[in-house]
Amino acid sequence: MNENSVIEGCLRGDPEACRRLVEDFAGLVMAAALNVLGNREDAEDVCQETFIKVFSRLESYDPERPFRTWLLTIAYRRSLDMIRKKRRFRQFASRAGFELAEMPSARTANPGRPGPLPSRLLEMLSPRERTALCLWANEGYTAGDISEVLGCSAGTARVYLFNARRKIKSLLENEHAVLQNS
Amino acid sequence: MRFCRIVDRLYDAVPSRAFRGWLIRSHMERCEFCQAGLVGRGAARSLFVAPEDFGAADRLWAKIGPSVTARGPQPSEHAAAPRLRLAWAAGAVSLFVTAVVGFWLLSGIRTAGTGPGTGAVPAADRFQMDYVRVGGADARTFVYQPNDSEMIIVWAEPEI
Repeated sequence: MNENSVIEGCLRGDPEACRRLVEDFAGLVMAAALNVLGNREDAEDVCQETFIKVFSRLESYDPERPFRTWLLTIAYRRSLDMIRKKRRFRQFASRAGFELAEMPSARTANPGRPGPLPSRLLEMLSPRERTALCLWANEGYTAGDISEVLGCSAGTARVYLFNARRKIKSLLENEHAVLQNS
Repeated sequence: MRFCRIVDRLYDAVPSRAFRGWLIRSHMERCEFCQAGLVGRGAARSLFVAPEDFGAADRLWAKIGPSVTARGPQPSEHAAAPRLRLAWAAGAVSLFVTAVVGFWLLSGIRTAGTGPGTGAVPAADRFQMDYVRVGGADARTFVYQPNDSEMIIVWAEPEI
């Protein structure tokens, strides 16, 4: 069963095709969400929301475009929405004087599964820079492709990617220097 | 190399994304020295989680499966597109017909000659009063139209 026939099956409402679509792309969506969010629980929520949106909007998918890009666009935009939502909630909580409870990290809750932020170096990047770097490194996307996912101009995507690559290079060099000195 | 440092300083000094994008495209992407200051694809990839790191999607399917399968078949794009196009065409045609009929009706009212400002025929020629009585007696009638005015006054008074 190739990708097109799976999508056509989903459009017909075939449960087996829907299941196949989830199985084929769950890893991709989960990795994308986790790479941007750095939190397994949030990534799982985003993954779920992404697939629900995919199934509800599948009729608007243009078969001329790669399905993978369409799916990743939804996943990354959902992830960025989640970050925005959480930031707003944190601001509201700090203004209202709430104290946010610390949740146990995913790594301690589920040993052996990928934990929070794949690398702490990525915390130094903004969510958009992280998205641009991840798409470039994992998917081999160009600035033009990244701009489609992020919904910005190619020039802006180029700046995000450049900043991310430069920051990570300098952080890696600093880390290496610290290790050598110690 | 000295030029690269100037470009680098310009990049940091001007926070415009358009300008930075242009600097990257025109110099940094082509310059080996500038490229050496950026992390490579392989090193960057090692920082991220890969899709292969995740196992079966059974748990995910268990969560979303019931809602997806309950929704039933989606109208395929090929079937939905002509219906949508037909609906848009019908809407456009009805809007056009309404506009034409409305325009025709409005222009009909304006040119029907019921209002005072219709044509250049003198006011007195447009009125014909065969019989006017005031207080039970025959009355004399006068029709006035002030100069440069659309107003017409009809005056009736008893014959003395």
